[in-house]
Amino acid sequence: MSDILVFKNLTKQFGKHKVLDNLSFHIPKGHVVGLVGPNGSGKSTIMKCILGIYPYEQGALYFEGQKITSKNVNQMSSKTGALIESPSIYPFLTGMQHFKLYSATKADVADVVNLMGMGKYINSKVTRYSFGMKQKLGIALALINKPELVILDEPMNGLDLMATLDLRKIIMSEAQRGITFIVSSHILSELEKISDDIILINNGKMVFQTTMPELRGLGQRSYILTTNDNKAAKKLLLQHGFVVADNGSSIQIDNSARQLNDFLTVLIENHIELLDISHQGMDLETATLRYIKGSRGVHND
Amino acid sequence: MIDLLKQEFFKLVHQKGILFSPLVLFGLMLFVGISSKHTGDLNYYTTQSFAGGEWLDILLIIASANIVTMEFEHGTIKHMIAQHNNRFLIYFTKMMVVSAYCVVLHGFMFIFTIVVKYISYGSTHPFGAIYDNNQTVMQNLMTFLFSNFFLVC
Repeated sequence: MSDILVFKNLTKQFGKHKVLDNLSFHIPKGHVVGLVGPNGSGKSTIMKCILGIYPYEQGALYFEGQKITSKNVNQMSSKTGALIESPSIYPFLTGMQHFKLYSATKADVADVVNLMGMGKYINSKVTRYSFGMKQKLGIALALINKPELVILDEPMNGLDLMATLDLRKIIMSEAQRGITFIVSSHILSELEKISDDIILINNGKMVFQTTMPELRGLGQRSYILTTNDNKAAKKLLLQHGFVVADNGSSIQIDNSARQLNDFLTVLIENHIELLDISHQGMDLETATLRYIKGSRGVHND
Repeated sequence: MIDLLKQEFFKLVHQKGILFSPLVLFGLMLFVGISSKHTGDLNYYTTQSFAGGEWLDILLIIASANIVTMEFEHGTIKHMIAQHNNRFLIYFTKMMVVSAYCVVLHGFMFIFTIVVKYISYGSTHPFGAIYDNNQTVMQNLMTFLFSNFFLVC
């Protein structure tokens, strides 16, 4: 699949402080890409560089294969919808007037209002909206002019359970239509559910870019095993050269060499009864914590 | 740029403060008109639009400050820059809209001067009376309005 957006060695500085440091990654077309990182890691700056709000000092940015400079940044931003930090809305306008302001066609407005379930309050002044309603309007404005790329910075902020569920459905259905999403959020469990790819940023540098199946696969390197005699099982497996460790009421077996059949055979042939087996799941939160701590260590060194 | 101008005018006409400012101007001019009744040179107040020029300047300063600061206050400036990618153009169109608003306020000021004059002074001190520079009160008023317009807008 082709990439809609490519960052090549992009560097952005504020004074002497490098906010983005030689950053390279790619965004596949039609994918939902989760941008993850601690506060101040450079996520919002990446988004603002894509939107042309911030110029960058070094490196290159390619949109649909075309190099984007300050002269042609319009070609990218005109095909991009965004919700950055907070919804861009005027309190003296109604929701519907916002769509008129951005010259949306009636058919597009009807589609988006229907999609977001905003029909009941779209003609009310924005001052009467709750935080979640404003957030929904901000997302609707990002989607209104049929963009090819949608950038959402903390879209789940302030949304209740139902609204979060609706937003997840909307992002996934729009992605199926070919729209690419870059979503930044600290609600990692939610991001995990919608993302096809994950980019982890720390201190303006990329820690990793991976797909969700690959990320989950990282956790399948070890198994948690419960038997009727964990001590005996551990001893037996150690004798056969497996890497085994205690894990509370169970034992943990390293499976980086993919030897599941081998160690199961050893246990069964020695009449040890298997009560439970599961692979240690690597979720986004675990991966983020592990790699950020790792990159901090490297950075500090 | 046309898109940007349309957006700016759309925002301008939907702000209550902007819509009510001609009424504020009228109220202030009427106050000056009525309170000047017992002073000496009443034609002077008429030719000076009952201090409308000064009131208009204040209203315009408020409007032009608001038209820029509201974008930062509501965080909408990011959306504008992302959409148009030209900070100068955004600022320039805002100033164009303020200038247009200034023209409209001067129109209102002229009408209000006539209304306030009749409310405050009745038919005495007619607009056709000869006043400064051997010109009529109306000619003096027009000179004031145009000079104020070119000075402010």
